[in-house]
Amino acid sequence: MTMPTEEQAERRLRAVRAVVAGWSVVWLVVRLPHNLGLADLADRRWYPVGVLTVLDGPPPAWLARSVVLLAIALGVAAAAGWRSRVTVPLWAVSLLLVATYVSSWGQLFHTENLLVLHALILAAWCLARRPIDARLVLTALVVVLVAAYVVAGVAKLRGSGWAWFEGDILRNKVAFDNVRKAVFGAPASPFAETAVGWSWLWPPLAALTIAVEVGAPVALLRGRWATGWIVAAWGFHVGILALMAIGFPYQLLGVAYAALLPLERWRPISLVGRSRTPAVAPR
Amino acid sequence: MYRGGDTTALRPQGLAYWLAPLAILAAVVLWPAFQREPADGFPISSYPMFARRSGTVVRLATAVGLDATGDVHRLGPQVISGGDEVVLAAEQTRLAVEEGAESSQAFCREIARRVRDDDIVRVEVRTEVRDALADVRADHDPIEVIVHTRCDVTP
Repeated sequence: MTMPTEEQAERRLRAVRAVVAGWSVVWLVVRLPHNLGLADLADRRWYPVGVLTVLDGPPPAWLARSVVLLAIALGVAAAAGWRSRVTVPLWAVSLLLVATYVSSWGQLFHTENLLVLHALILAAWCLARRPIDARLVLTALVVVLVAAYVVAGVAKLRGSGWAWFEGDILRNKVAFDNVRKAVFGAPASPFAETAVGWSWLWPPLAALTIAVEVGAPVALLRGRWATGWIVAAWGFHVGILALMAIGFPYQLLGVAYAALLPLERWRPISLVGRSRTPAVAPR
Repeated sequence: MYRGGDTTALRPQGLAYWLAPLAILAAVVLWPAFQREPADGFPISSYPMFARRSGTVVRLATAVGLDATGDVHRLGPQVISGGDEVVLAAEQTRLAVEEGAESSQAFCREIARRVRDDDIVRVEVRTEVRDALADVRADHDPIEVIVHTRCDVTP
């Protein structure tokens, strides 16, 4: 995981575009019933966030559903690298709109933040009037990834200070999340009841959480540092899944870390979206 | 002609070429954590869900079904909010309760229209007070139940 050459970086970046856009299509299709069904909610349940705060009420159902479906088609085109200058920015905007719409009904989801941020960076790359060094774009994807973890760690430390390391805050959150699932008749974690009974478990888990989040910038060092951090961050998300039955699929499937992985070596995916004619850098 | 997204080699034009956009990106993503109150939003967030202290005794606004004998049946997020997300159902219920009696009753009727279980004759919007640590699976009776409103399920 050393810094790739320019040529490797270009192939990796195309591969990253393919897997990020491809994953967005999977997410949009899997969540299609839920995303389409949101339009049936009463207007008074509309609590807009992000770019949709400009709307006083929910968009018409036909419009919301059209954008949801359009995002799938654009995601397929973006993943394939078809007319990327047009399709990738449109895909990123439609994905931003859909993910924001999904979070505008009272529940702020935190599982698609990185996906959308990565899509927007890929859109900026495709919109650029001049060629951008692919290594800069890859680094930008990693910087956003790292910053997202750091911001979560800083929020925990600011919110609870050193008390965070006692572990009770984390344990109470896990217990709360599971009892809430039970009260709402939904499947909870099969491990939570046992785990919250082990008070010794939580101080090290709390410390590891902060180490993964605040220590995320080590991924920028690449090499073994990046490999170690990816494994730790992935394990952190496995832990969340095991103890809270909350999946962060973008991270769990490794897509979030794609810019750090040598995808250019995986021939099938590195060929996706390759331009038919080599682009010429202006000199 | 340059085709967007088809990068080719371009020499880094000095440190600023690399650092300026990266610093701006990092600042944008880190910004919520350095607000007076860590901010939540989309797609920029401080991910504050774990940041606040909470005790073990929790108050959960929810909705349950009641059968003819008064026994409680859990309804599930699909019936409560029309979707499969627990947190969405929880937030929708909490907000309806916080908005007052009229909103709670309207929400109750919305839920009642989605009930498909013939045994359930009534929906109750309530707040359950529970010890989350001692009762992770919500197997025990709540410490306290506050009933906000009830409505009939009409076939």
